[in-house]
Amino acid sequence: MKVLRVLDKVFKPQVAYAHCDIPCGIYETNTLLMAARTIERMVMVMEAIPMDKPTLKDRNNFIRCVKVKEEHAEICEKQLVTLWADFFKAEHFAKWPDLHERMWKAVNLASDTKQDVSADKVKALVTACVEISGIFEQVKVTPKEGFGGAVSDNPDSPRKKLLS
Amino acid sequence: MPTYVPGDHVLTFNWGGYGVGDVIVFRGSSRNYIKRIGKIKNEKYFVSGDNAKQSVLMAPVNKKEILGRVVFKY
Repeated sequence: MKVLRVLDKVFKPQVAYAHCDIPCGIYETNTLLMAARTIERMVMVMEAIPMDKPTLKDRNNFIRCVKVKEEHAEICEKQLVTLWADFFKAEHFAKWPDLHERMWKAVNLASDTKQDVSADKVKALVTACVEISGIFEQVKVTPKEGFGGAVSDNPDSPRKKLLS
Repeated sequence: MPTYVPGDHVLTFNWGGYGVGDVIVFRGSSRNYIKRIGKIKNEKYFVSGDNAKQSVLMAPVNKKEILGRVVFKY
């Protein structure tokens, strides 16, 4: 092992942290809903751009819309997965037996909107996100005055301990 | 006792796949993290620290963000 430590002096190891320095336990769905609505708006704008004889400006706008759509589909996916893995707990999945499937479908719809320019798919994504946000609103714990966002009802949540 | 303490060096391998229970090093938004895989779902790796009361839950990790699996510390 000492040999490895000596080798580390030549091949510098990277530092890895065992602890996240931003306490979690703060959740909201505004970012998710905003991202879904942005994708919806981008699809509307893209469908309105003439594709038979596009001008240079049309092409420029189309490419910009694709970029924004892609970015917000990525945001949507990450927000959904964070809610799925971090916020919703076993008791929520027990109360809403189809919650796993709802989350899975929403994540896949977010991914689909990257691959396609479909008003139907993005409408389904927005509907799915609104429904998930509705469930979130039912289970979130409203923090005391002065704090933003919602806390997880996980009793071990560091933020919940701060607020209790 | 913590599994790893500051100053520990670990050797990681990035082949052979990763499974539940593996300690991995992965790239976060601005730094590398070392955590244990608790669950794998839809090609997303859900990680947390071994100290359940202190550990902060993190967003799941994509495979491309994983730098390697810890094989030993020295």
